[in-house]
Amino acid sequence: MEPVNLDPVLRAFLVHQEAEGAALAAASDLLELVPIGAQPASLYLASFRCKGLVRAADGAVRESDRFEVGIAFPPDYLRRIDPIEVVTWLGPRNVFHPNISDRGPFICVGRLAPGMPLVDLLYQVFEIITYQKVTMREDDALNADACAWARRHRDRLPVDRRPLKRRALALQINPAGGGLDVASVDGWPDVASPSGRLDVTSPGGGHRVDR
Amino acid sequence: MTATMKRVVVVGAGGNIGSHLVPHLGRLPEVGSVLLIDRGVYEAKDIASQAILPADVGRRKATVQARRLRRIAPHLDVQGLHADIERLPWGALRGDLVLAGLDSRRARQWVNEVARRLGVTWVDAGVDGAGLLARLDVYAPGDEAACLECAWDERDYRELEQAYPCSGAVDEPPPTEPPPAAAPASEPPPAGAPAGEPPPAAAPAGEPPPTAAPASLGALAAALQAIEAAQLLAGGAGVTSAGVAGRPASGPATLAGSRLLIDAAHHRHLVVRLPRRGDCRFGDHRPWTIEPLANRPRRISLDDVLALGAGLDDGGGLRLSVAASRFVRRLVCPACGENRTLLRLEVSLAAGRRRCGRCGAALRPAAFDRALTLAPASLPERLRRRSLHGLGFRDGEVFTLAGARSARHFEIRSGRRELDQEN
Repeated sequence: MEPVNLDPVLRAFLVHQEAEGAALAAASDLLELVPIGAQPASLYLASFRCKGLVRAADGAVRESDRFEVGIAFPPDYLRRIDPIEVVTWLGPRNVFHPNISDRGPFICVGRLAPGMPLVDLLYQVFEIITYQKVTMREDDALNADACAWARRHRDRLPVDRRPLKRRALALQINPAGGGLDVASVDGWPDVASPSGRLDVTSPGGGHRVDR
Repeated sequence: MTATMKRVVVVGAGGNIGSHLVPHLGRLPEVGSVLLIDRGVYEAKDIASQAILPADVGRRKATVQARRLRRIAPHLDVQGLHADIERLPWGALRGDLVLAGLDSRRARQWVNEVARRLGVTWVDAGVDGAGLLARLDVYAPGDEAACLECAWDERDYRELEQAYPCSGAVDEPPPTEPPPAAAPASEPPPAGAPAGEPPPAAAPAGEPPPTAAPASLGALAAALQAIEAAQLLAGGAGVTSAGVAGRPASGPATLAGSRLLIDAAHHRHLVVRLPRRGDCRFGDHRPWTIEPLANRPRRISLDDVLALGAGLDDGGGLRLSVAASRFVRRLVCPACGENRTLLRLEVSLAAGRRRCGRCGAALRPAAFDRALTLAPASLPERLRRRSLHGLGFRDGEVFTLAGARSARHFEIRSGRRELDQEN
């Protein structure tokens, strides 16, 4: 007989993923992450509150803002990987995306490598839901209709440009001007007004505003 | 074959190294039995780099080499197996020594895992045609001995990356052809790139580009491998399974636990120790204690398996698993939604069973329709009476029965030569 123990290398990996995943969820308005099972978790339920597309019963393509995937790390995850085992599409079933099947719980997230961190997986799924990443080849799509639609409506993509992790705005109080100077808005050039001034009424009056 | 004669398993037996190695095995006095495994079929381009004749083109590599070895050494017990090794039951590699000449990282990873758990020494030979380098890595079993993955870093694992084909194309090889390239790449444009452009064609995952090695370099690596095989067999390959990499207790010096590198371009050679890495992703490196089950899979039921593990169950129930495989409970068609309920070991699912009867696309198991382990006691009685064969277990399958705190490993070893698929 041999003892049954969780491999220490895998345990350390799982502990790290749980901490990183929790940190990302805490810094995001668009992600809820629920670890499932014994610690350290090897199974997660991820809910995205970003914009994506669904096809309504009448055939119309509409925006939706709740999408769920399951993420599982099998015991040999650090050494080999099968993408369909790791990421499972949980809903909504009527999702409309070339990389996501509307007939089964499958999402095509592109290339995955053994040991890929949880946070990287979450980003990859998020970028797919929001059409930041999309397969444009119908012969390689899980939903060919969505693929054809996406090609016709490239100007509408991506459907959500917000980052998964909220970005910090470094704002400085300008007493003379009565407003806040935007020192930097990481990756969000359209947030600030042309004058570089953002009028913010903030009871806290803090120097740093997260959004 | 006498009791002292050894069994050698050659994986990648028909390639640039393997095809040159096979004749040497027929001339090693220690060898009594040889299993030659290769999934390939000879093509015209192979004549330049492999030890074959023009008449061999179009024939299975394992078959060609097995017939050739029988002609060289009629006294040998020779089997040829045309198969993708990663789909074989672990027991296929059972022998005194495994010699590998593989160009696939994934296949080498599989051999490493199986040889280590079976407690068999394996010799990994490789060549680099551009640098005229020939390499031998000798891995002895034992918890303190280095394994192949001890030397792997993040980049090596990235080479194993998998792209899930969005279209769900069946990626299994047809039974008589060499396996095709890995699944078509489906990677969307990288972040920041404009959506809408088709992705560039990617190299097949896990498959490096051909080494373009000349026949002479393959022959050099093969000769070194044969010399090392003789040394290991004479010193008792497998004797080192006590856990000490290096020289066996008696007999000639071997390369166990070391790498030999020949730089033919500059007439140099180098021997370096292969270090055991503490945080190796392979985990513990111990060989398993595997108990033989001298019966055919058709004659072993799940109830029989439950009886085997009676001493393991400490109240939480017994779990049955097969390393590196999964149990599949349902297959779903991503294209049309058709689904099929079954209970079978995924590694032995035939391609035909994975094709959708309605639309022809590949059926796939969702994550929650796969299980790492099976709890036989929780199954209905009619399923518990099913044979292991009905679940996809084959002769040579190694399986594990685990309770909450301890586990036992078993190998189905009926003694039948079901592996011989040469003809």
